Amino acid sequence: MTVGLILLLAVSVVVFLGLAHRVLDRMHLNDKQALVAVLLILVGGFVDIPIYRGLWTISLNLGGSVIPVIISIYVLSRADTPSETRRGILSAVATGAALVAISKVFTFEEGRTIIDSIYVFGLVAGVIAYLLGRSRRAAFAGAVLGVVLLDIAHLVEVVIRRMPSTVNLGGAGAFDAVVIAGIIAVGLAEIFGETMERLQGGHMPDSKGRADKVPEPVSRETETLAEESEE
Amino acid sequence: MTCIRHECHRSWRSCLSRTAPLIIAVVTLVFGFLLQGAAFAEHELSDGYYTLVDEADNEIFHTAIVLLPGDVFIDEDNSTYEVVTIDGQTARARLSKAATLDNREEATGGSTVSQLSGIVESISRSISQLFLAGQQQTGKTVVLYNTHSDESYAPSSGTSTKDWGDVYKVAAAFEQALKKHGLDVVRSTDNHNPHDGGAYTRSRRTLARLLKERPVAAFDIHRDAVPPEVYRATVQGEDVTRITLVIGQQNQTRGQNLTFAKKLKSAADSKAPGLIKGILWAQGNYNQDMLPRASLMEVGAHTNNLEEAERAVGIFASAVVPIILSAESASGLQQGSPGRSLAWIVGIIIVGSVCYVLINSRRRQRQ
Repeated sequence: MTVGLILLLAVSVVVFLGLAHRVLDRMHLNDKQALVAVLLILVGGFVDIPIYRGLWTISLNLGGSVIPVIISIYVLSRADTPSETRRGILSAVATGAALVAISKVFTFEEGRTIIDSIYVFGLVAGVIAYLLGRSRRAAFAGAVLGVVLLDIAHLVEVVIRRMPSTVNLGGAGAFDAVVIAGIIAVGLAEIFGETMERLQGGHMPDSKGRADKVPEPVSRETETLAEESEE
Repeated sequence: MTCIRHECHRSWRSCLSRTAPLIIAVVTLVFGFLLQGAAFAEHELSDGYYTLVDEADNEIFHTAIVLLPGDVFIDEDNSTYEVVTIDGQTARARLSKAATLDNREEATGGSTVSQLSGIVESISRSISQLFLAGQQQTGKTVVLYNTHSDESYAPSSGTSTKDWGDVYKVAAAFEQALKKHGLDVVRSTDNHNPHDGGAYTRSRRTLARLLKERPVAAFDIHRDAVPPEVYRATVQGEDVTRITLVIGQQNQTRGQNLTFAKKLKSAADSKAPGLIKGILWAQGNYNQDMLPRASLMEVGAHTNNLEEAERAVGIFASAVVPIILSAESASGLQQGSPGRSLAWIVGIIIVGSVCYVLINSRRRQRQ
């Protein structure tokens, strides 16, 4: 079983057990939507949409690119502030650029690698997207869109160089780096974001000394606590 | 870091000014590579190759594959060498033991764990089969593809790399030979150019598509880059190139893949002695996590003739068909590595749950 599939199944179980409420709340998703998304990625991984056939064979995979991109766009569209949306887009561009640079510097030839490319791309995308995006929404969108941008950069390269190549965007579906990247980005935002917030005792003021004025989205968990206290 | 909190509010301008140098540097680098043809990534070890030596400085193996400590090489006599240190382009190895080529699948845990993990595997397999309805698993389908599409044989083509490399012709010869012996073969001609660090990510998509054919085995055909005498041999009276099987260590199915490679070598050794140069158990994955009967084949080197390589895979096919067709090999596809996969899933869930509880309890304390 591949790492991507293992992560997807683990996430499904965590969501099913109700342990991902807060994360999903912040991403404006609920349990059912999250499980449907996982299922669509699994199913869609078997569906390739042909786009062009000639010197280049170009196709689009439903589960590996279309579904993750739609989720990313939805998540970004529900960002709390315009700056968060910008951070998401910036992190996507930077992530994609970093992945392209890595793929050009390191060959991942047989034996010429410490860590395999599929893991490197997933890890790097997840970490960069989190560092630049910082919120769960921006980190997720940055990681996913960054991996997709790597494919688009490949397409641009082979067109510029007039080099025959098969461009299958997200074609490995659930086995692709996009799954690893998205889950790692959100996981880092959840674990380190929350931990740092806790260590600093709450919201940090910005550079001008203003307190963070944007309210947290009210999670179901918070609602439940409020209801319990009222009772 | 001034602002660590993820909902912090920084203006577009300050955010951009902070990340602009990074983005500009990376984007410049990217376009530089795109337009100049990625010289680094496509560099081949044309100016040398690695030599594996034992404790007594006897030369064991030559390859353009960069060797690292921890790599294991099983030579044609089944002696197992583990790379200990790298000194320039010399890999010093110690003799570990003689490899057992007929050993069974790697054990995957105790009976209870196996039963539980079997359930998990059944679920995941059912998910896959749900989307493969209508397709019969014949148990004798083999898939072939070429990750490095540009690899060629200089004496035959006049160049060691080209857009549609000679390795496609080697794969075609392998396909014909396997079909001749009764196997169903699906060969992909997807082109994964350029020969850079993204090639394996792209060929992963090809293999994912090929898996719909429910193959019992997958072969990724390559060629090495060393002097001609390293791979040149006469087998069954024919001039051929020898073959090195490369198995990645970084995946959950490494045990099964290594066992499969050992079986292939054992069969080839008995019917075509000298054809298999050895098995390299190297760092990396090479998409061999996708199924437990996957192997990367280095068929000769760029300094050998294409015709010799084509003859080699023909002989190899005739020797290994019984292994591919054996019930154990076919059923092995269904087994995967359930124990390890289950352990990963459970581990991730436990770690995730602990993090959730820790974070949540602190939040409640604050509230």
